[in-house]
Amino acid sequence: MTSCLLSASGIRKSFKIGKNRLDVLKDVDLSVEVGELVALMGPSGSGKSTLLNIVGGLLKSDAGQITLGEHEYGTKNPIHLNDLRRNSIGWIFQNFNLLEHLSIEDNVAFTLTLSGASISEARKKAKNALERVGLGDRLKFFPQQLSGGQNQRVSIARAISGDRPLLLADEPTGNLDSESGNTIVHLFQELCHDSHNPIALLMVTHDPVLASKADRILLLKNGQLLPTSPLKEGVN
Amino acid sequence: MIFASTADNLLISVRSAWLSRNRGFAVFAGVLLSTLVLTAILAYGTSLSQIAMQETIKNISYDGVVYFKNEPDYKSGSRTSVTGEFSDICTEFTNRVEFTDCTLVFAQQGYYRYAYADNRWEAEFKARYFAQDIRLESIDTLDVEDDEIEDNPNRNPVMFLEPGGIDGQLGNIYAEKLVDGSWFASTFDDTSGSVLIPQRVANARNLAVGDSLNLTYSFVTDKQERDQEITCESSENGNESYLDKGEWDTQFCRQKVLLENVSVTGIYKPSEGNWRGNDLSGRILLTTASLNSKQIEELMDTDHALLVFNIDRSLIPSSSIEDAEIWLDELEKSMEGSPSNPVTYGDVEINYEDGIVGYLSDISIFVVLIQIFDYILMIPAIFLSLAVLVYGLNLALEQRRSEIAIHRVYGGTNKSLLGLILSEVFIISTVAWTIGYFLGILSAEFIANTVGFMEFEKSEFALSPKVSVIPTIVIFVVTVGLSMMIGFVKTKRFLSMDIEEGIKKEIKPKRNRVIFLIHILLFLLGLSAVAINIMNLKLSIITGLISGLGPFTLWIGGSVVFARLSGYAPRVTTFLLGKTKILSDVRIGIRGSELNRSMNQLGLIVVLTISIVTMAAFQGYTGSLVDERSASSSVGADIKINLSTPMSDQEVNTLLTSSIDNITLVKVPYPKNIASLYNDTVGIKGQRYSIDIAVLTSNHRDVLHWNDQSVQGGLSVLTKLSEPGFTSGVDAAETLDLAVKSDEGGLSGVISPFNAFEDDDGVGFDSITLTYPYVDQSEVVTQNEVTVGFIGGHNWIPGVPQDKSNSFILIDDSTFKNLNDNADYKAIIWFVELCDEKANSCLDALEALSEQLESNLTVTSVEDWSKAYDEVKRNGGLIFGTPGILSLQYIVAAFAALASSLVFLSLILARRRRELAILQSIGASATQLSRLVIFEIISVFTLSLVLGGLLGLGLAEAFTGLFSLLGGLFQLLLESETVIARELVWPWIQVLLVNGLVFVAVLIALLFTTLRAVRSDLPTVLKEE
Repeated sequence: MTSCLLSASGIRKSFKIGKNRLDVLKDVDLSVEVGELVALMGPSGSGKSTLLNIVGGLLKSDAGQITLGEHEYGTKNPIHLNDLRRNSIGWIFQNFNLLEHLSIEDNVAFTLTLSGASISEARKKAKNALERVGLGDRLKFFPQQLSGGQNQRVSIARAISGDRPLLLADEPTGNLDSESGNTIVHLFQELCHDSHNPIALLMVTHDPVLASKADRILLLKNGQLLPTSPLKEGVN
Repeated sequence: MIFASTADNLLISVRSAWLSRNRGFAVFAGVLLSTLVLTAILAYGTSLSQIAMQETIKNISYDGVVYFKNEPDYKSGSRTSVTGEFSDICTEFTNRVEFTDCTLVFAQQGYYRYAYADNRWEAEFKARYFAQDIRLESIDTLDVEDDEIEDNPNRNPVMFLEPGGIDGQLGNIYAEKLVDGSWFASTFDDTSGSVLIPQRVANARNLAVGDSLNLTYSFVTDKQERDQEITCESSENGNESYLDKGEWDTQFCRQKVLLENVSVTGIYKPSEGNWRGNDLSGRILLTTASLNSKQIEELMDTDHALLVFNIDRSLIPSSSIEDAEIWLDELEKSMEGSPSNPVTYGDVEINYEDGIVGYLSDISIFVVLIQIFDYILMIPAIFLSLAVLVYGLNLALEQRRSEIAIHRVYGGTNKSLLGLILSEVFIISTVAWTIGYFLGILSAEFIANTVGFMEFEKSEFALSPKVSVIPTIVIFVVTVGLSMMIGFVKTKRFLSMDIEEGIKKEIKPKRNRVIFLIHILLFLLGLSAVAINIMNLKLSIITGLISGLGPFTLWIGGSVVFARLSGYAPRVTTFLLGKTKILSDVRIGIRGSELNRSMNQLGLIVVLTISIVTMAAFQGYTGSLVDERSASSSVGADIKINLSTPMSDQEVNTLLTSSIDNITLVKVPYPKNIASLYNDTVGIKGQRYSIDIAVLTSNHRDVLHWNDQSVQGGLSVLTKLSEPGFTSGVDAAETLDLAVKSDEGGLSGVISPFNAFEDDDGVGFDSITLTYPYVDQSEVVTQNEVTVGFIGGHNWIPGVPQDKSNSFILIDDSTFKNLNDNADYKAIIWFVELCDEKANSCLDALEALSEQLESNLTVTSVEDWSKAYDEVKRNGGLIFGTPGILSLQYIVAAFAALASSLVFLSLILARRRRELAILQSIGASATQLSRLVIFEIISVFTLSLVLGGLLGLGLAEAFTGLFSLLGGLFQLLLESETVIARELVWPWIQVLLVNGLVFVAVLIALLFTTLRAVRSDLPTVLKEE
């Protein structure tokens, strides 16, 4: 039995560029289910990252409604969505966006203390998360001491550490070599298909091989999502 | 082609400078501040010499005199014995635009510096002594005593005025000082038989306006050196001649002339102005209408004629002393010519004696010394502004590191990138330099017009502060050149880095332990200076050296050490508040500034600036207090009156009441209290010598402005005067062999006259028996005796000149009455307590009353606290110019603290924009971010403020030693009567005000910039590398 975790409907977004207005998203509807690994593809400038940023509460849409668990948003100002980002969404960026002055353990633990956990509790959970991504032996390392693939695993650990139901990944393997990229994708699959605590993951990617590992592929073109069912086959 | 390319590059640089204006603001602020400080201090130097020059010229009563070039018996063709021919030269003078007035007078003989010896100094000296005056010999049948006209070092000089002298500027100088009667009649013939006399002569002879008398004057008919033969014979008309032995081996024949039935037309008080060389002040004034033609001819033939002229002073260049000297020298040459090619007037050759240049030469050395001292004082502010420039530029350029690396990735060449950065720095710093330069010149006038710490008044003089070409170039090189150099070195370093390293966001600062160790040593040296001052150690070469260098090493070393300490503030904050609700959720994110170069630099700038603000405020207010005390010690009370004849308190009260009643324009209160100071001489029982006493009325504590420093052991000692006791000045203590202890003799105690006290072991007499009246041993009279106990040494007695104070013992009037058979006595010196001397209304009242009293014939002179305080402030108080310099430091440092904090914060937060966006992406709320940033930065900032304040306190102490030392020297040079020790004043409110202002401004700026960062476009910021 599947259940819908994220649903978005009628998402519209345009940007003003000089005197012109560019419609980036036009009435986009989207849903992601619990335990589902979804790849979002499309040509450059099709609005993939914009859609991801709106879903992740970093950008507000001009119109449309998004529901994630108890949270309803879409047109709300991101400044008011810190609860959503703190408790329901984990972000994985192409450039990792780790805090360089903190050890990787504290990078992960900080996310938890922001939610009210004590430091000891946060570090315990951080250690678990880092062990889960295979970095349990590097807790006191700093980001600049690790490779790109390891840094991306840290950012995954940070994203999953708070038991967030939805992970959003923007070109997660864009800065990695293929071996590291494969490791990350396997990790994503494990996380989504974990029988005890499955999570949903929506990732933006240009990489067809990576996309092929997803449960479902969404294709965004000219600001609109194309029908999904044949797409995976098409990509294959 | 080349021009087009240059224009394009310039345009790109301008655009780039504009686009990076946030970063450029750091460069802009640094260059502006350092240019402003350097320009202001150099322009202030020129203003200082302009003020000194104009102040000096203002007090010169007339500008010069003209004698014949040659002695009567040498080259006689170059002289004239015709009065008209000589006075016609005046017409030629006044025909020129440079001269406003010229008149013939008969007074002093010619001054021939080339006539007497080859040795120039000896010739000058001799020439002065051979130039003799017309002298008053007797009034009626009584000879005039030397001390009757004490104001003039020459004996009782007389001056005969020609018509031009009555209504000219020379006459005006005298006319303005009339206290009774009137000036000479406007018709010259009517002035025959009129005489104007100085007040002292009038008082000594009980003369009043309208009195008729017979005057005998004398003039020199022959002069010789002592070893030469000289014969004085009476004249054909029976005038008596006598031999007058002069000084410096000179001798003269003087012929006496009697003027009968001369009427006193007016009485004047001698001018206080400067009379140099040819002294025409304090004279018995008559006109040549009182003489017959024979008498005038005799004065002319015996060389007593001279021309007195005035220059249009507005034409004297006020740009610098040197310019004025050159202008005056040129004028002299054009009127007198050279020895080989003299200017002739008919056949007459003249000796042009300028009265101004000599003064200017005297003050120019002094002004240079003051300027050097002021420049030394400004070293911290100059360093401070350069530090803001260097750190600001470093921080701004550090932000370009990754940009440069990226440009390199895309093929930017070293040359093009270096050119881009340098032209950007050049454009920003040149704009800042231009603004700073003009602001500096404008502010120099404010600094020059400072009359106390942060007290600015419009100067009576026209000032035109300027910086000449070479210093201007130096300022440009130091400021813009420094920015270019840093830009060059820094960019070169970026270009030599691996591209990957360049792209890295932040590099952990490397610390040089040796340099830090050197800073610790400098700091310790500075602390030694503080210790020396607090412990008041004796002055030696080592303590003097440490005290001289200490303030600067303390500042430089202390800033670095304290800035390092302030880096631990976030750790301390986390330790203290980490487990509370305030910080528990964000404590992991708070990082120590030891990881953050810009935070370190912010800490350093805050410590540097706040320490200067604190030091300047403390020293500035201390200086103002010292000025007040200097005024109090010189005047002694609200008003000090010197009478021509002794008066009782009743008589003085009547004088004061009638004077106050005559004042209509200002409301003057009646005196609250008056006290007298009576001088006399007493004998010491069992000793052959006498001692001078100062007797103060018992209410002296209510009237005189005593200060704790006045008396060894403090003012409480004075209560023992009635026991009976006495205090003693240092000279009197030596004479009496008193059991006095010398003062510590440390740097702050350098001012006590007891420092040099020889018998410093405290052994000696602790009581003496005074005998009165004091008489010579051979006389037999009944004397009263009183035994008085020694209660301590006095450093000064308010209102008493220092040399006299040193030779006095001080007793109170009950003791003196016991010596004086309980008889009443009258005093010449009186002190008045009128009102609160620091209130504005009181200052006006003091001035009005002193002017009214001055016009009274029974009053010789009046000093009021208001005028004395103004003079002390105008002359710079303890050290000339210090209030202006300290005010400049206070303003610059406060401005630097505020501006650099804001600039640094803006740069720091700009660098942390991405970090804040990351935190937002993982769910940090706006309040969490604000708490994180504020506690991290404010903890460093607050600790820096506190440590900067502490360092400022240390600096204030360390500078006290230096100021006391140099201030004492300057006061001695200025011949100030009493040297006041610097007791630090602690103006907490002013210091806290600046600190509070900076703190609040930074807090607001921090909140504002954090919120702006929180509201930034998150997806864009998160994509940044």
